[in-house]
Amino acid sequence: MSPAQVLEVMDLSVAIGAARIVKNVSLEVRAGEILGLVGASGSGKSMTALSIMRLLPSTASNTGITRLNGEILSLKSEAEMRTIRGRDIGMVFQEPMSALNPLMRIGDQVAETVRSHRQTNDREALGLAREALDLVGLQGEQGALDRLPYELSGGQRQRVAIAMAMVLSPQFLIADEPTTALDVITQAQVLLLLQGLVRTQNMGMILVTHDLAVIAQLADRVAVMHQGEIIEQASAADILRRPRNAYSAALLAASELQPKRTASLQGSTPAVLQVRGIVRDYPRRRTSLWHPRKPLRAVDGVSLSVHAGETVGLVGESGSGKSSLLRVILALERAQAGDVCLLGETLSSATGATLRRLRRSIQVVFQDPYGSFDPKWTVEQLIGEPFFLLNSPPSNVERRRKVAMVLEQVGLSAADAQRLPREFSGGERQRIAIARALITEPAVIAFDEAVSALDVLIREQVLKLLADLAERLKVAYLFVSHDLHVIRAIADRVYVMQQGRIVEEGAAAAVFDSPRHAYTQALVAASPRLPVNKQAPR
Amino acid sequence: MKGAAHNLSLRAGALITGLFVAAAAIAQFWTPYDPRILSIVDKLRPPNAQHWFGTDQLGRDVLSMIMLGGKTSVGVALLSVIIGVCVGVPLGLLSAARPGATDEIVMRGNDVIFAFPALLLAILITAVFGPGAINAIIAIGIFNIPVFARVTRAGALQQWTRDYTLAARVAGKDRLRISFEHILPNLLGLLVVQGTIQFSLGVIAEAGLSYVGLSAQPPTLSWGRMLNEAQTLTALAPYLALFPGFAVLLFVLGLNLLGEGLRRRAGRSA
Repeated sequence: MSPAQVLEVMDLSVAIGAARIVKNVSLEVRAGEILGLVGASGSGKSMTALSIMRLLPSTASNTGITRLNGEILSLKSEAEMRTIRGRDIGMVFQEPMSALNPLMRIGDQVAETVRSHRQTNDREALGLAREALDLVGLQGEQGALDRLPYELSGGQRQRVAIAMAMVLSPQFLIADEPTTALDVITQAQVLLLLQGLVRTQNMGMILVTHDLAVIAQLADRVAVMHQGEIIEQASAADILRRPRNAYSAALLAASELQPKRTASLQGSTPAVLQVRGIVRDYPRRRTSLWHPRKPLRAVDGVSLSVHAGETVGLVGESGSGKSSLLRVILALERAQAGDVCLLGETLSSATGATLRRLRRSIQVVFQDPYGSFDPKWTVEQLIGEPFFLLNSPPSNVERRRKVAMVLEQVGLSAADAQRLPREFSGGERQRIAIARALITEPAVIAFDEAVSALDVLIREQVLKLLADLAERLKVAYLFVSHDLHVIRAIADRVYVMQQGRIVEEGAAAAVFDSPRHAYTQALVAASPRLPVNKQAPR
Repeated sequence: MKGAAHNLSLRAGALITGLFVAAAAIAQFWTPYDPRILSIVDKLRPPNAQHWFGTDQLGRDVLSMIMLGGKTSVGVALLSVIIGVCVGVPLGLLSAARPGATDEIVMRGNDVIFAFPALLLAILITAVFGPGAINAIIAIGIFNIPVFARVTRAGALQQWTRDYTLAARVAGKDRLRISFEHILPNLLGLLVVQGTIQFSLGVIAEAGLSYVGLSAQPPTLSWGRMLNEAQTLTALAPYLALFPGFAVLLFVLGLNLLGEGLRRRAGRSA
């Protein structure tokens, strides 16, 4: 006999105004089972999760029936729902910092959940909080209860959030992108923790994520959402190996980034970018009046090189110093030691006209497709901004022609030039950012997590575009990312960075297939992966 | 919530403000009676069909005086906001663009100015230059400078965290150029809202200054002085104090509603 059904959703629809966000969704989850709800952003997966908790924004309306252990949640009053939330259904969100009160000790925060649901005294509530923190691997005895959220790492905060969701032993847990904001190694630990909890406590869980690799690691069954509808629902193994729906198949194909086949060209071309012994310190607050300030060393003697036409990957977790290094390379910040040479000239100490001339040869694409454009400027103005680096900027006609040319190179049309950035989707904006980087015909383009904010299908298209441009324009890339799959798919050579130092370097295939350094090994092991059903051609 | 149609405070505020500004503009060319002409025969008439707001102790039409007083109010408040914007905004931008010593010097200088109440400043200026509308404008304007500097700095610092400023620096632009080309246009909404609020504070400050005789001097009319003159006649003709009092109240209310409405609209579009 199969285990008891915990949650059942029948014919759920959600609408905001005239727009139907979720259409006729039906789901069920059994005890001890993890249902993965996967889809691109805007597919309605978070709305589905929120409507189970009856936490939809006030502008949304929904129809359909939700049952938890046979009780119909849709008929409960708001007061009844408040007792059910937290007691019967726990929820874990993406951003662990904003889910915690920054001024409250974590023991008290977890205990508060208990107190708001049960008549207990403080000691009992704290006792339950300690048990819950033990359960998620934060030892309650060692003063963890008294710590404040800012003293904890991202992974620890997410553990606290899970403890808050678990403290009243709910029968059901909803986790909305619980590991998206975490590092690879932390992600692996949190996923393992969630899986263990569901199995040992015999709970049901819905895991909302855009990442099929996370689903592959955790979920028993998968529901794929697309434009508000569940288009396929089957066991995880079935969907990951034999997707029946065309969209699921496309999603899966885009998630399985094919490792790049590297033509061994390194060494055969001259180095365009050479970074030698960069040290970057940031001043830190004085800890004591009598001790000298100890600076924070973000980058600690890093050397790397990028050869003409080559794609170099730089991998590391957040806080490893990748972004600081990139800012030094782009001459946005000065390093305390070391130098950066671009095309044989020193960029790191250049000023005035020399700096402007050198800057033409190195451009950059940033992570956030929303923040990297001035919202008031048109696409033409934005793409043309680097023309400022030229001593004689092109005339209007010439300028327009060049902007149209790069727009077409990145797969957009010349007619887009007069539009504003907000009229474009995230993927299109990254294309505009690439166009802006191409306009001065640079020798090197740096990418700072340039595809991390994109959905898998869009990410695949952008990566294809980049590979294609590298081929045609012979431009070199320095590709910075925390995502091993992305680096593996695009890079010829990689550098692995940890705590401000390069710990391993080499050809992409060699580093990822047989990592030598312990940190790289941990990174590769922790990185969630899809089951390999077809051997990648070598 | 959709569109400006639901933004009641914006509509009400725009209506009231528009009414006062229009009345002040009309007063430039025409008023129902000429308040320079005294008519003792008609003195202290309560509101009636000929004189909607009545007449004062010298037989002048109160409605005409309110309209001309509004002209002074709008003029002083507007010019002092312009002074605040022209000096405060560049200071705020500079402060945000150059963290460290420059920022510290500019902002601490602002704190010093901020420590003086507008009234004290006005007395100071009057002591040196003598009373007059110009001095009120300068006093209120100086009071506005640190307000605009702070708002601009706060907004600009937020814009500096966005990647487009980095992109502009990669394009070789220096921080001051980025401040004016990128950051200022993105702060316009914020500054319009703050401008409306400072405008209403300016109206109150002008009324206060003219009440104590530090702003516009006769024959220029102002609401504050009308209130002052009505003070001795409150028992005899209470309407003489009520109308200028209500004018200040309603105008400030309208401006605050307008500011709130604009703030809400800016919040939605951002």
